[in-house]
Amino acid sequence: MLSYLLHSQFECLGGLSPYDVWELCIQASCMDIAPKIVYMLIYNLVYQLISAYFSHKVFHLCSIVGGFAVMRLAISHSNITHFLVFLAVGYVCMYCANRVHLKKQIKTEYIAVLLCIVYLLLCEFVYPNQDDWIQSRGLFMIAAMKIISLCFDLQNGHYFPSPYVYAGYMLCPANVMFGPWISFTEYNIARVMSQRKKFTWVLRTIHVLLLSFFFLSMSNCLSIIVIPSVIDNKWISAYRRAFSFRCSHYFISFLSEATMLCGGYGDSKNQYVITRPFDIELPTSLVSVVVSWNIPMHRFLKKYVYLEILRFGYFKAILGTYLISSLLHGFNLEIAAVLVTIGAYSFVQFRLQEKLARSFNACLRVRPCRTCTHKYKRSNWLIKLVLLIFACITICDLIFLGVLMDSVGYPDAPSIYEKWGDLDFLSHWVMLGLYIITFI
Amino acid sequence: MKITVVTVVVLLMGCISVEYVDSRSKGRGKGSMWWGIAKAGEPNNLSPLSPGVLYMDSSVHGTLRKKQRRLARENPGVLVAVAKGANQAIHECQYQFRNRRWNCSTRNFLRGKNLFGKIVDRGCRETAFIYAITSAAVTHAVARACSEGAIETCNCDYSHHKSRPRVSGNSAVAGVRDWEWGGCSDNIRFGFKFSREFVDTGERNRNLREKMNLHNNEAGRMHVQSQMRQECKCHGMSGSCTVKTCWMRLPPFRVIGDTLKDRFDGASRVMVSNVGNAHSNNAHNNKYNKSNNINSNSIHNRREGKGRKQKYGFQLKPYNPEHKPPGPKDLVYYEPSPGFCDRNPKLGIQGTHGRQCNDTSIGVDGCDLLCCGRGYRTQVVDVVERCNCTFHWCCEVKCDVCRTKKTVHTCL
Repeated sequence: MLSYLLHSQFECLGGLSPYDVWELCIQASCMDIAPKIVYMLIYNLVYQLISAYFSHKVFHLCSIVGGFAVMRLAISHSNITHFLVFLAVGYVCMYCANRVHLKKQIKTEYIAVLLCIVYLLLCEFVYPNQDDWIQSRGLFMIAAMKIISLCFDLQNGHYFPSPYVYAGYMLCPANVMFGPWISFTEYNIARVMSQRKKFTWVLRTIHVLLLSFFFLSMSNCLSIIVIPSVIDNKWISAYRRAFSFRCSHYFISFLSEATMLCGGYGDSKNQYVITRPFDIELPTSLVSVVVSWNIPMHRFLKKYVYLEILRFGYFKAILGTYLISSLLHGFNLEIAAVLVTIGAYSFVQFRLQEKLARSFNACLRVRPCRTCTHKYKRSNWLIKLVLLIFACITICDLIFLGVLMDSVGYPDAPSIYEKWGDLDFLSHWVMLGLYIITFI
Repeated sequence: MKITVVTVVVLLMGCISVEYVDSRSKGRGKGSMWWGIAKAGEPNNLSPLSPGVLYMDSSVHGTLRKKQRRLARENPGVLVAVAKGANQAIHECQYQFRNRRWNCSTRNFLRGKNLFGKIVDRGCRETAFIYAITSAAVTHAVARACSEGAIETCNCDYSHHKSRPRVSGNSAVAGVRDWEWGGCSDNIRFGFKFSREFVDTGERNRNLREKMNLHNNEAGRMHVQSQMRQECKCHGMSGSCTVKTCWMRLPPFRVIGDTLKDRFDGASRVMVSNVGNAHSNNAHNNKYNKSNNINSNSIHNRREGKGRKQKYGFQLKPYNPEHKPPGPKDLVYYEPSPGFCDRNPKLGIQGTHGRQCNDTSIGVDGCDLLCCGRGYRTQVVDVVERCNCTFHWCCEVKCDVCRTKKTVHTCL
């Protein structure tokens, strides 16, 4: 009976049987990428073993070699060369800035930020081969974040790394390709952390890998599993596309967690949480989405951007953080639109919920209050209902954002205006409405 | 008026008898014997684990030509796929023609006789469809078996596909080339080439019938080929494309059956062309021949000597000079179809006596047309069938047994 069900063709699967979907899509896409992942994990395991048992010098060398090996798996030769040039330029600038800083005692770390951003912008808009650039943009982003954080740390009293150590940090095999960003101190910790419970570590690694394959198949095969012709609704199809993009992000995030764990990084519970899919799929507010989307990146933005700008004012700090974030993404038009929209939306949501919390004396803030002194707690069902409504609005917003991100990197994709116009700009109207409410 | 009718009939009869005699020797082309493989063994026996078993089966052995046997020997596991494909073709043909006067019935297979009956001896539309669908099914089944890893000679090496050199002219068929390397896009190419080798054995492009067979076989393959696509998706940090994953989108065979049926309805009648083989203006064939000369690293080219490279490079001439010449995906025939109304043992036609029909339909499956105006008998029968089926998690389906009265119309 089961095998009959598996082999019979279903209209909702586009005339394919579950077995066909498994074989043609899930299996094919997993098998397509599996060898690369296996090699990546092996390189990282070797890296971890060597860094645990050998000296300082060998550790950095191993990191460099491992980083090259990982890059060779997916990145073309010319892109690797380009990346190395970028790293060299970054180092030279950092060195000069540091010298100036030591001599004249002026803050020079912003030069590094500026340099990285200008370089990324140039690549985004001037680089002749856009396909190549889209392939290697992730690498450059991670490296730019590392350089920026390194500059700030340097001026707060770290020793200046030699080119050798610098290269080791930049090319660390655990995060050179898919991230996440790690700080220079974290990078060095890998050597220290050999005392760990091996069993939970193995378990978590396998768990994370399975999750990443699960999200890969969700991302790739969802378009087969729910064919638009069966459920002919633009909202469902838009949600599907947005969901597919988010799944792709979860795939990359869990994969990078796996490489981090294999590379010997992780907290005391043998985890290295990068994303929290549940908080994103069932969000209470856009702010929680932004935080849970990429936790290391969030930490980076908070520490090196938000807190740095905070002295100019709260609103400016938020705006500046989103601006820097979108600049780091190369100011790709879609990504910039998404980030600006998120910024505006979360601002509106923040204002509204703050106002509601104050006027009804209820726990309705965007982030749950630490010690709730309000009259109505989060356990109140009415509060729950209101939060549910906000969650629904957020999910609707995520559709709008995900639709844009779905086709980043495809040159012939429809424009932002067309995509949002297809969905009648609904989410924008809702936000406008909410914004007006805040003034009442 | 009467005289012309008579002459036409006489001419037709002559044509039939000539063809009939011809078929004994070489008329219909010899490539059709392998269809028998469909009945050679039950699918249970054709386990992919023991490809040798099928090969040893003497009834299979008898249906295959020497070259086909060699191909089966050289590609272990492929025979299972071919058998699967042949069965699929019969199935699909009978599905597509379930409401037609000719319903693609197959005969009990006996060695030396044809699976689809003597209709194949004639170069009519139905024959064109049979050739196209069988060749398409083999392509489809072999390509699928490849991706399952059931055929050793076409397993794709996932780890090396990136570094494999991409030869720009290395596409026998338009469309394949546009694929990015990712998963196993080699499969369809293997299926295509294998089908050419296997199915087209014995058709040597010597007479119109063989040309027709070759063309229709090729058309069937082209349809599979063009329906198959590879889809890719990028993954990476924030929308970058650090890694790309690809998967196949092989259409269900039903889709191919549907398109071939459409082509059947619009098939073109052709006649012997004096233009000759080499100077064809058919874009597809020309392209193929060119790429044939450029590279010689594919199975197909290696085995095909220089003298035979023109096998597919011909252009058929439309019977009606005002019509367009048939394209590579069109089905071609050169004889009108016989009437399928009455039993005709000479042509192996069963007739529509006793077939069920639909009294409310005005289409081909309606009683008027299907019964060829002979009228029909209406009966009320008790039907016992399963009903009210519910699905219980997991995985059981429970049904009730229902007795219903059904009105059945059968042709007289």
